[in-house]
Amino acid sequence: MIRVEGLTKRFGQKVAVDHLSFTIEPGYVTGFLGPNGAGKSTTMRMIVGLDRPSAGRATVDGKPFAAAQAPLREVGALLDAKAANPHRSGQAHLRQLAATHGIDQRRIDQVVAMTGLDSVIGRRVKTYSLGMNQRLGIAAALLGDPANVILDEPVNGLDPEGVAWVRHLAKALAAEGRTVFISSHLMAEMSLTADRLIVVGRGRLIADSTVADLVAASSGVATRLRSPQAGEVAAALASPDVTVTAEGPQTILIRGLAIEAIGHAAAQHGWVIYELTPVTASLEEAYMKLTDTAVEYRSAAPVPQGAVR
Amino acid sequence: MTALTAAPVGQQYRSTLGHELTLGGIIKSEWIKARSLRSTWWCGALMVALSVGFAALLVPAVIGSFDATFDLPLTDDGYAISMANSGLYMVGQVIAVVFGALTATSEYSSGSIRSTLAAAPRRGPVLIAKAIVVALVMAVVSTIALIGSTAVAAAAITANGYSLAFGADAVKMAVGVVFFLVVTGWVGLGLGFALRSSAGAIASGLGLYLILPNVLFFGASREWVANIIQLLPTEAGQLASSLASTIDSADPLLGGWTGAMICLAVWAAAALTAGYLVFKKRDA
Repeated sequence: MIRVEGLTKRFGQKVAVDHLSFTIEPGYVTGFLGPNGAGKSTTMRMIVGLDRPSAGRATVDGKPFAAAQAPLREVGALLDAKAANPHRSGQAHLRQLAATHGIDQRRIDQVVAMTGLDSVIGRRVKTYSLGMNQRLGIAAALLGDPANVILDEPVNGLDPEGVAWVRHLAKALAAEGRTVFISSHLMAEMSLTADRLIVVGRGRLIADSTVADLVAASSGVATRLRSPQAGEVAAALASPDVTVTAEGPQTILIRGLAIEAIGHAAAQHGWVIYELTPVTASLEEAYMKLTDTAVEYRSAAPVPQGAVR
Repeated sequence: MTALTAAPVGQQYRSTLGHELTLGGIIKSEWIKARSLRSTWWCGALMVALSVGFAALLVPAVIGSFDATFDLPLTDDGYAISMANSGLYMVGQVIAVVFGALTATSEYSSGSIRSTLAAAPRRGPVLIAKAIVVALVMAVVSTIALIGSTAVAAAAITANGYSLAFGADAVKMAVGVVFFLVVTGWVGLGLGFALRSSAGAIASGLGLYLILPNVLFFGASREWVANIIQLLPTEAGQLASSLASTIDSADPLLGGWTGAMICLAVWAAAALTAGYLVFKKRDA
């Protein structure tokens, strides 16, 4: 279990993490979402004690990470793909980490096999692709068979097969009762991987919820109706509690009325219905909506064609 | 709602591995790190090759030009070591600064400090382990270099018809030069942790060793400047490793060999403390 209480990090005038509080429960994959620069990596770095909080505290299973008797068994962390000396072999990198806790070669071989690095483990890390670096980082994180797994952007640089592998790995680790905390700026991936989500923007907590709740809360449940009599339907259903918006000449979006009630009304009035579907926003839309005001770096409006010569 | 298929809260996973973090483990880890980098072997090979080469080129020429009627301490206790030291002292300090500094700074330039601290989050034991490994590497390498270059010097001395003597002073000199190079490695390590940049740490280390004594030399007519020079690690190292140490009044400030060794120890403590404070206070 990872608990963060009032965690704050200031870099000079800039507040990177602003009174963040949340708890990551064991047994779930918890996604950590936010735009670039939202403070995700800084938060993770404070949890494992790389950065010192300006205020607040972070604990792992009830105590600060630095106080752990066996840090590698408590937390397996991938904080950056480039956390191995490029002039050393992957094997030597894992060996030196294992040596700190007296972990034997058998366990090293296990994590190497688990991450599919068998054929390249003797090579120097500088010859690795970004994907291999990620796998080495994950192998290092799993070395101590940790109860808590923290992965910062683990799918960066992985091919689709690797992305699916990380997803299955994360779910399998959580199913064993581990606490799994994964940061990403890719909503689509998180919606497939995570059970719960912590969303941050500009260092502040925006949402702490399940994926389903987040999508529902953000979109509001709506129903799409397509009918040649769309105008008539809109007029008949309109009330202070119900909002109807036009999506097209024959398509309307109805909010505030259960889909069953719309069906009954249609039968009652004898409307011809082509389509009646529940609409939920994708996690991506929900996320965009949530972080809209919290994006730190926004691209300027596209340059009109022909403006640049 | 998604089905949250999870182990009930409280049934938390417990690692199946029974191992714990120990200082011995961290030292072993640092030893694997040093061994698995080619730069360590290069530093070692260079120190041995250059100091032995230096002795092979210089010592026979110097001794060959000696005149037996000229009163020289050729048969003094440990003279061969003194001759061997002159090259090792010069070459060794440069390599020791570089090796010590890189031991710390390569962790930052490569990003491996993150995995190092993920395995061993407390800074003190990591620095201690690194200091032990730097000392070990420097002690072993400089001992090999010293034996090699002493053998060369001894051969030149006997070839010119002089006899050799190795007594208590010879041992002091040998211990002195090895300790000087260990301390120099620690100074490099401390600067590496304090500055985190290879260029910065190496430049300031070499500045302290090679440039500062020469700059201060211009003001040496003033007593306080002369005193500072006496206390620099290069001067203390010279005193600890050269024949002058056999005369215990050679240095008015440090006295002799013992004072020089203490002075070196203070330098090591100061550099490592500065490195530790930055390592502990600053974000990794």
